[in-house]
Amino acid sequence: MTNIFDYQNYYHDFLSQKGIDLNNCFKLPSVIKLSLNAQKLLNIFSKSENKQNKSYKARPFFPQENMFQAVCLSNLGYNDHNTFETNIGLDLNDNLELKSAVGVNNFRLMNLDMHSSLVRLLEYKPGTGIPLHTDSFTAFREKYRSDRQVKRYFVAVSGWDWGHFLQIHDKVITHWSVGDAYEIPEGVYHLSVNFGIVPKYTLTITGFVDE
Amino acid sequence: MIEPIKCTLSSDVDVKSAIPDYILKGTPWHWDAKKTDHKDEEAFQNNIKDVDWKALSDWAIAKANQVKTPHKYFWWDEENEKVMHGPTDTMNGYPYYKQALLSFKDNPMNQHNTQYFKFANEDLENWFEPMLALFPNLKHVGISLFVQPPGHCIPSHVDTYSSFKRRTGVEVDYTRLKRYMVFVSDWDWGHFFNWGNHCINQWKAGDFWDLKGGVYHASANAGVTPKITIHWSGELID
Repeated sequence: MTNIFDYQNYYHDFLSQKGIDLNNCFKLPSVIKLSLNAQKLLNIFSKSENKQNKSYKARPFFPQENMFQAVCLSNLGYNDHNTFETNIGLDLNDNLELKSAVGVNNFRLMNLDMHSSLVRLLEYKPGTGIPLHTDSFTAFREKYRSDRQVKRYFVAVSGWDWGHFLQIHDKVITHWSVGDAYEIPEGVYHLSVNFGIVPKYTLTITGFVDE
Repeated sequence: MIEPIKCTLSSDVDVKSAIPDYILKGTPWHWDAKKTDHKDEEAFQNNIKDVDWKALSDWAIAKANQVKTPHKYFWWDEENEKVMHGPTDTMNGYPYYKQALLSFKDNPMNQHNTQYFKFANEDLENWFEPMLALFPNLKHVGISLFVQPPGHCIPSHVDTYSSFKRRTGVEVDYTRLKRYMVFVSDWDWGHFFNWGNHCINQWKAGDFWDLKGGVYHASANAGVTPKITIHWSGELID
């Protein structure tokens, strides 16, 4: 038995304990085709003065389970270099501009309440990605003090290129077109990476399902 | 603190211009990332079953844990304007150089996201002879086993067979060179091998791919367990 400092299977053991198994096929919801003006979105990104640079690491405000995931990933070798991301959208004005650029019709297609939705635009340069994790929408629900159903979409702003990948549970997604929206359900393990040669731009759109 | 980007970001990079002309002409390929009616997946051959791949995988992980520091990684030596591979080897002057600039000078790929352990030929100890015997159709064979830790990638490139040339000293006839790859461990979270426009995933240990020359490819481990592959480079016997 390897000593506790060299042991590398903490994350795998954690997944096993939760019954997360790649052999169980995940039924991917159908892709939604949005009509997006990618250049307009990239212009908003380019001129934003509120760009947030971050990497994936344990943070004091993470829920316990996310904290454990982040600690495991750091222990495995994920660092500021291979998880570096630049994003906009947390600033209120940027978010409004991004939502406006996405447009009412696209929110209808995703069946999301545009008003309360959060839109972020993410840039991953070659050599970076976000490692295996789950999303929790608890903070989003708490913000609006609502227990309505929340959905999150990964939306392609740049077309697929070599080395761009999204994995949702056992499904590996490639060859997307601008505007392709993939739902990433709460609690489903996923990751995304760019080991190509050009940057990867995507939106994450989180919102209440319109009822 | 992070460093500013070294090159203006662009979604329109002419990667083909970095490929040596003799490779483009000798081994033509479609060079279109948007192409969906390609046949890149036809590089898959079969699954080699008569090897204990689990035993080789266990051996490789134990060796990597023993060595601890990955042998190989790429970085840009800004001061001396050199593309480096490992602590001291430079890629300047090699056919890979222009491709390397796209990744390591113009993009933030460096020693922190391109690491791998490499066990070549006799480093493979008792595994060398049985691995050599798998492909009797090749001569001047070199075998390399890579252990890629989580969080690391080998960026998109076309093989230039530099180490084959260095090792054998023979004049390279690209039409007769072969590179074979076998996955040593089963596919797991975040393991990707981008062969042309085909993303290899869900593989089984023993899956054998004939990686013909001239095809743009890359690999990454964005998962939580080591990704292990073994590669043969050699010349077809008449």
